[in-house]
Amino acid sequence: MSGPRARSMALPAAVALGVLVAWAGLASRLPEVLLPGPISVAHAVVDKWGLLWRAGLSTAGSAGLGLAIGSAVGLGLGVGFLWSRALELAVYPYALLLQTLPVVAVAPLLVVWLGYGAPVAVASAALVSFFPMLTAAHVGLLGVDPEQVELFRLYGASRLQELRWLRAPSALPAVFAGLRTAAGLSVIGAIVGEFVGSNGEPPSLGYLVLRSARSADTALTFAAVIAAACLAGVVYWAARTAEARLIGPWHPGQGGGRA
Amino acid sequence: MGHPGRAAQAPAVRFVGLGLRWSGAAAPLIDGLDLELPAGKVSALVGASGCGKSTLLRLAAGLLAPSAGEVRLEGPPLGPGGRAFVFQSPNLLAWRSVEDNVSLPLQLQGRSEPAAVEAALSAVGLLGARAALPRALSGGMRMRVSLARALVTRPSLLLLDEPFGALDAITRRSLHGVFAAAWAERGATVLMVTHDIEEAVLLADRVVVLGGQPLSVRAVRDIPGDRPRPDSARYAPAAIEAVRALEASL
Repeated sequence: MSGPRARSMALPAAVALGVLVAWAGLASRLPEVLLPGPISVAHAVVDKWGLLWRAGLSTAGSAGLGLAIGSAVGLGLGVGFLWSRALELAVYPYALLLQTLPVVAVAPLLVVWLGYGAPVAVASAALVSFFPMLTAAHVGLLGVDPEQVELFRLYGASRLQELRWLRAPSALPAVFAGLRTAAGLSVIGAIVGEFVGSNGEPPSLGYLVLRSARSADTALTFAAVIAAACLAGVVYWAARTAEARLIGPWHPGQGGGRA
Repeated sequence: MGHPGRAAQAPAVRFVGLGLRWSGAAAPLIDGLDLELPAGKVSALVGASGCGKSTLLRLAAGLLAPSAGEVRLEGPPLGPGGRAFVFQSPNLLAWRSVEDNVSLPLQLQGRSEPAAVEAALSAVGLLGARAALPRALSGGMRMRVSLARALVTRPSLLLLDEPFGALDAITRRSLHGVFAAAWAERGATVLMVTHDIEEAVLLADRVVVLGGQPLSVRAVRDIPGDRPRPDSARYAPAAIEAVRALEASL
């Protein structure tokens, strides 16, 4: 293994080890209900594996569906803004306003409208992932080299050709940057939705965190939080991998720009 | 490998009482300009930077509309691929291979003509790099791709905005050769903006010295002799004399 590669794995591993040791040391001085040690949490993960897995899948499904809906609406509106300045002027201020609303405050309303269950988590994930995607599409689609637009116009390109062959590919780096943000946020959005709107059927990570904390099963709370972190990591990694595959060969931002 | 074929009958370009004023500007950039550039010839437009020569080229391309007067293309009407524009920077699409960049103008018109793409790539000596992405190419190679993209539709009006301006002297000379050979066979009307009078005298049939503001014609000089001219033609006494005379009118 080459030097930089080894370093990029050894350094985070050293931090993880340090955190585990400090955590175990601190936990040994505190009651289990306040801070369970790493071993108790590992036991909880093994004992409740089936439950955690089902809950993780349910949360992943809500986050994924919410991300897909939020992205579709965000990207679609971005194209709408590109084609209609009037639409942009009319709608963009409200999109900005929507962004400032905390999802925790909106989630109870979602329960009123959608009832208890997974749809609240999906809607809340969609709400938080919508804005980063809209901003990314807006910036990416408009941020095209004006001379390239002139080139397309010179050859009589239609609006759709300009979108398909120039603006959309050119917007991909910005869209992927937005997707990375939105992907992480969608997991948070789904869990917030589950806090407020889950009835435990199907079990979800948000519901598990809330129920285990209330019943003082702190080790399970930790296990569920770790599962949520893993889920966010997987979603981020998936977005990053898609980015590297699709734009890696031609986009200079891929592969690191550190001197 | 054959060349991409002669252009359809090339137009003469006439600017008649041309005027252009940017909205909000105190004075017009162009005010009543009259100028005729001959059909099937290479005309070079030279002038100080900022005088409006690139704007004049955009007006000829139809990328800008004049606020007064008109741009007349005298000849058969041009189709969508009838005019081509080469920008100062290559403006290649980073996500497309060399070949796909060159075929773009055809694709935009719903045409698929592999033979035309092949011929354009061959004319600029890039057949071997057809699958490469632009980021893998040198500056000179990128410029050649941009020239091939302009050639692929066999335009009868070709507009070049300082296409060699950003290149080093050696690359520039080799591209002069590519340019001269490619257009010698075509008979297209070429308008080339440059700030290099020596380059203009070497490549063009007519050199127009422009001044600002507003844009005006300071001198017009026809350069005799067949094209393509060898690079050594720049040292011929007549060429040196022409460069001196044109520089004096700048």
